[in-house]
Amino acid sequence: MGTQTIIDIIASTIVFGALMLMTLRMNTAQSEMMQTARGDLMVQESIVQVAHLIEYDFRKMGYCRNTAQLLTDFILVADSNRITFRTDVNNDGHIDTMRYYLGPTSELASTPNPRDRILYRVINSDDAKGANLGVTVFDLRYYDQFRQLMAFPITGSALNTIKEIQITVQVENITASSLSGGSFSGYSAPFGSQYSGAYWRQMRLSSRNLTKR
Amino acid sequence: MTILAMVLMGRLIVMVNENNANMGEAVKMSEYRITSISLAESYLEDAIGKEYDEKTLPPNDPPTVTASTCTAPGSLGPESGEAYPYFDDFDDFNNLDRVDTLRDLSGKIITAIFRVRCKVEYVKISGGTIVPETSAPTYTKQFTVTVTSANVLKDNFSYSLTSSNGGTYTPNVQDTLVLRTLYSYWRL
Amino acid sequence: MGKSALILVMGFSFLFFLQGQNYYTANTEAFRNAMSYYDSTAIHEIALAGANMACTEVYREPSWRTGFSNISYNGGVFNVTAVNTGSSQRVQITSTATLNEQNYSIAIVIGPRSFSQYAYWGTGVSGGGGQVYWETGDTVTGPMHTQGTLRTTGAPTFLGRTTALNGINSINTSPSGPVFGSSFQSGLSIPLVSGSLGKLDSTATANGYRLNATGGANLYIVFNANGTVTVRQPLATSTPITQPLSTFAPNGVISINNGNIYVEGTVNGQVTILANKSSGTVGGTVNITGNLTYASDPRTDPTQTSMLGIVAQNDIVIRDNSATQFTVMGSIYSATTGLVVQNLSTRPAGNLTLVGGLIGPILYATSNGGTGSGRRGYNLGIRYDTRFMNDAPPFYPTTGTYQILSWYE
Repeated sequence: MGTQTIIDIIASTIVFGALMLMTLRMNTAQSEMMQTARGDLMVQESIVQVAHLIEYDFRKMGYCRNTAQLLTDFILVADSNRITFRTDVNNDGHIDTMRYYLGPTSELASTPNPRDRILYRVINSDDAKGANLGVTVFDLRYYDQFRQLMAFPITGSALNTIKEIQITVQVENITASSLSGGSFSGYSAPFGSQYSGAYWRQMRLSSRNLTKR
Repeated sequence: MTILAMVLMGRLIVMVNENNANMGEAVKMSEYRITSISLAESYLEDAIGKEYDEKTLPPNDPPTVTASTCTAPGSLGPESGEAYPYFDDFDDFNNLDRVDTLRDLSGKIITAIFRVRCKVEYVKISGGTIVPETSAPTYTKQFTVTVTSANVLKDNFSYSLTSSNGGTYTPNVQDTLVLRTLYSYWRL
Repeated sequence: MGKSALILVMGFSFLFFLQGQNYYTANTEAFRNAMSYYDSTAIHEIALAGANMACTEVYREPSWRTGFSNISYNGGVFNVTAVNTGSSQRVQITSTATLNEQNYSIAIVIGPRSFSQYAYWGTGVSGGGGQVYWETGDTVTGPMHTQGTLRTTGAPTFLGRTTALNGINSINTSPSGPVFGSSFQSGLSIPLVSGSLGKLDSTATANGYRLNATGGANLYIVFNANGTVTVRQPLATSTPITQPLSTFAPNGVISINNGNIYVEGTVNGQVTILANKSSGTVGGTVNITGNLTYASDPRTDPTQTSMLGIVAQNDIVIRDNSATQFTVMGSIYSATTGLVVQNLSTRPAGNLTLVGGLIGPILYATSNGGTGSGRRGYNLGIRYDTRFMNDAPPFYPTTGTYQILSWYE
């Protein structure tokens, strides 16, 4: 084998190696982008599901199919991250109680995301059922008829003066992607710990049924 | 051949990166679309919680209010001294034009910046459809909220393209979200 | 080597193409997810549009049942039906929107806002032309409206939604002023609607019982617990008629024009009695001669369905039967005066309990205001019948406006 051949082989190996490295790096990058996109998609689908559920339930706040039933106290508990109200879930004329609240982060200690929790939707005294995974924020703000933010605690007769509710929900992916540049500008975290996330906020219906008061 | 392979590889890398950028942008835009829908719905809900008209606010509200006593079509809008969000009747939102966004609980902006525009007008049914009524007040008003953002584009990406017939797509055209509803007067 | 490199590149091109397809799918799914959210929001607004237009049609013309058919709006269509439900005065409106082959419905039940929904309605004027002051110890347990200025001294308690036309005037607020269990709103005008009693009288003619009194005729009514009613007219000694209430007055309205009513007993059914006065100087008074109750107290018996409306052009009088405990269950409405306790200065001291509501321009005293052995007349206790928040005795006078009884979306 001549020197030229050896040089050719060495050069080819170097070039081939470079090509391989480039390609493998591209493949890794592509996989991460794919994972991020999938994560974003899952989070967006999750946030829309939460939005649908909240809109579906909150629109029926104070509703009862049996119009002879008196619902004077529609909202029973109004807190910054939980709410309890009366409604007629099955549209059967019987008043039910519905609770929304966030579980503790310890319930989802098995997921990589340290902040995720279960959003619970509980009807009457049924066992607590999780409505959604990956919720990291469930925030409620209450406004009176003058559009003034009501200060906590809101108890007693003040509950009857709630006119509008601002609901904020943040959903994050329960597993991380490795890339930076998630939904939160300025967010910095160790490599491999970025979580796709999405926010949803809505100034909620003052339920039509509340206007009966 | 090796050189050809490297050239092809280079071109492939550029194409894949461009595609990734486009797709990443597109997925993000879908998230902003969801945000803009909830934003529009918020303005609608806020308006529906108000009185129908300045003239139907207590104590100007006997049980026999008629449409003719309400605000003239050309005068729909906030009364003197009224400013968002402290409106007191439905048509105060007319010609509202503001920049809005979402902030997290610490006040940091966490989504795109949106421009929200609202329009309120009287409407009636004519020929099986809802049409604006500009000559006189009616018992029904229409609320139209339009949301746009520089980060939500019609073609879902901001790079320019050339179409197959040689024409050029115009990139960076903002997509427009429009939501409408009707609000009618009946004294509760 | 070159061939290998080329094959490698082509191989990876193919892989990236496949990955690109997946990536494209994710993008499409994200867009579809956002559009599905938009569609669900838009269809809701279309249904809401139909519901709103229907409510205003019923408000303007209560007999409107035409509905809307295939009205185009915002890219979809809405269809609306309006049908009677329950009593003929209630309307169920169903608005169904269609958008992109999806349907969404909103169902509303609306009904006239009855004055019976108030635990108390007055003008702030007392008997003798003075001013009514609600004082410490007074409690109104349901919605209340003053078509004037609400005046208080000390700390009366208003547990329901309280409204007034001309604000509130509180004196002696130390150590505390009035207590509002719900909310207080000023500037609201809810006047009695003139012509209400004439309308009610016509309703009695249509399918109830109506007596156009002449020569001083009166109606003497005893409600019986078995669902019948014993009626004598024109005199207290006339031959009585006893019939099931549903036969005597099928639509539940018993009326006398230009005469008076004397009534007591146990109401089993839903009925409104009216003493109207369309002309002359005689009539328009309801005299309650003894306890007038339901078989059980609706505050403690949720199965109680009986309802009574007592409507008079003039006074509703608690006749002196020497009882120290007098109970009336029902919503009382006087078009021009109010509730009067006969012989309040001489009859034995006791308690007058009204389970229902009191609607009348003038609030009369019910006792002589004395204490101890010098006290005569009644302490008045108004206990709101919460069923009246959403229901009313048959054809009870309304405010002329509608209310939402239920809204399902």
